[in-house]
Amino acid sequence: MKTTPLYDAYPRGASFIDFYGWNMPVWFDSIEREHMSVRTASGVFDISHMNRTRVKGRDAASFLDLMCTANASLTKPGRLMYTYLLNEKGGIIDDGIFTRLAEDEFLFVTNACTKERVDGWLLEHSRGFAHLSLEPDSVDNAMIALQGPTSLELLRRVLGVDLTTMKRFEALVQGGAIFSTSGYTGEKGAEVVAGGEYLRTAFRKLVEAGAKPCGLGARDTLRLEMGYPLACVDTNEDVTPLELGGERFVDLTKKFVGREGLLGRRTSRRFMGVITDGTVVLRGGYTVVLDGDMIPLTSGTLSPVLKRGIGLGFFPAGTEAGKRVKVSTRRGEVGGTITIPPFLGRR
Amino acid sequence: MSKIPDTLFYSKEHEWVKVEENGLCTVGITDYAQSKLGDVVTVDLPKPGDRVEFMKEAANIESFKAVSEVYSPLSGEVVEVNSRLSEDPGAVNSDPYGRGWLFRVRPSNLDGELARLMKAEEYRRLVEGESA
Repeated sequence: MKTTPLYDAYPRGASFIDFYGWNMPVWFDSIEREHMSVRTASGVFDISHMNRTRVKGRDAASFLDLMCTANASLTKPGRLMYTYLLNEKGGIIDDGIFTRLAEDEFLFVTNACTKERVDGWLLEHSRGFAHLSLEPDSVDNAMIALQGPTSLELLRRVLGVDLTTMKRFEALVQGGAIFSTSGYTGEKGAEVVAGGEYLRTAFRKLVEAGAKPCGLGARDTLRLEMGYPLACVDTNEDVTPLELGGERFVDLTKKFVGREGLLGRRTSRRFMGVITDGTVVLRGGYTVVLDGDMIPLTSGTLSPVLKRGIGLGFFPAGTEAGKRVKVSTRRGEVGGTITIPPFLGRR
Repeated sequence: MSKIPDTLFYSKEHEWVKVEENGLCTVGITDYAQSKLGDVVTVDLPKPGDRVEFMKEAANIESFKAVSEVYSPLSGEVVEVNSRLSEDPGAVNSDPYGRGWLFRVRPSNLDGELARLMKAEEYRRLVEGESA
């Protein structure tokens, strides 16, 4: 297994997991305490395991326009865009975020679980572009997420980087490091891509200053409360952006791989949530009993904030929020309600 | 370092037994077990009056991470369960040998079965072996 450049900066006592070949902390202290720190103060995550690709050259924007559902040419330097990468049939290979660093330079971050597929897919389609360079980000680089209501103030105080007046999905480049107002938790916060040495020191300083070190367990419970899909768990190449309700991330006015495939498909199911009446852990594979059908959840957990089970899955198009259902769990059937995420109110 | 009190007996499935003065035995899971499970969410306990058998499943503990079986380290009759855990399941994590106790048993074969359990030193070696 690989470890990230931040491994030596981890506090002791973490519980580890093999995450697609990376030795990553599931928690440092407790999933629940880490989760609540992000919701009420600040938490810091090592997300260096994610797949980072540097896309450069005069054809960089055109290339990303072709590969992504989002519009790269119209994205200004210093801005981020969330996007899908589709196969020819309009199915989701991965979701990701690209940051435009300059006219001819982008950083494209996608998921660890799809690295081989995405790297191969991008390379295959790059051959038609004369002025394009595709490179994996340096293995000596790292990435952190600092998230929570006090996170931007902490970033300013501890690292001297002030993102407090920036809007969401903007980036500041300083000495080769990229600081962006983005995240996967639903809270205010930042993500930083920079050299491993810089981020090891930064991670330690942020923790010393009060940011709670958080593992992948809390990363999952936080995104579940927001209803954000997780690649390779909730989505696969049979899922389309329309089924996810992701129309706003798809620019149909431009040509992109999968556009025709997507337009040719009927959308007969929608990604929605269910919340249980009581305190129970929901898990991927548990089923929702809906009008005589058994709908499997793709993922789930116990919401640390709400103390109720929350789950995500694909329900028949037209299923209404508020509909009462039963959820089949390992302890029997429990009552629940169909929900349009997020499960929490506005952050 | 995992806490392993000297006065208790241990099973290889990470349960502990305390022999009380009145002859009843209290059962729980060890500090090592709770640290592997993570935050406990629900505990499914047996009922008073249930029979339990040596190293057969007697309870369930569910954490964010997974569901884990608890095996009874003694045969006998369940006389009391820790009903507080329905409101405070986290006690299993924060105080596994105290407030996180699971159930009490009137043992039917105490001496025979204690001889098949481990004392602290042997259990420590088991835990260190698993952590290596």
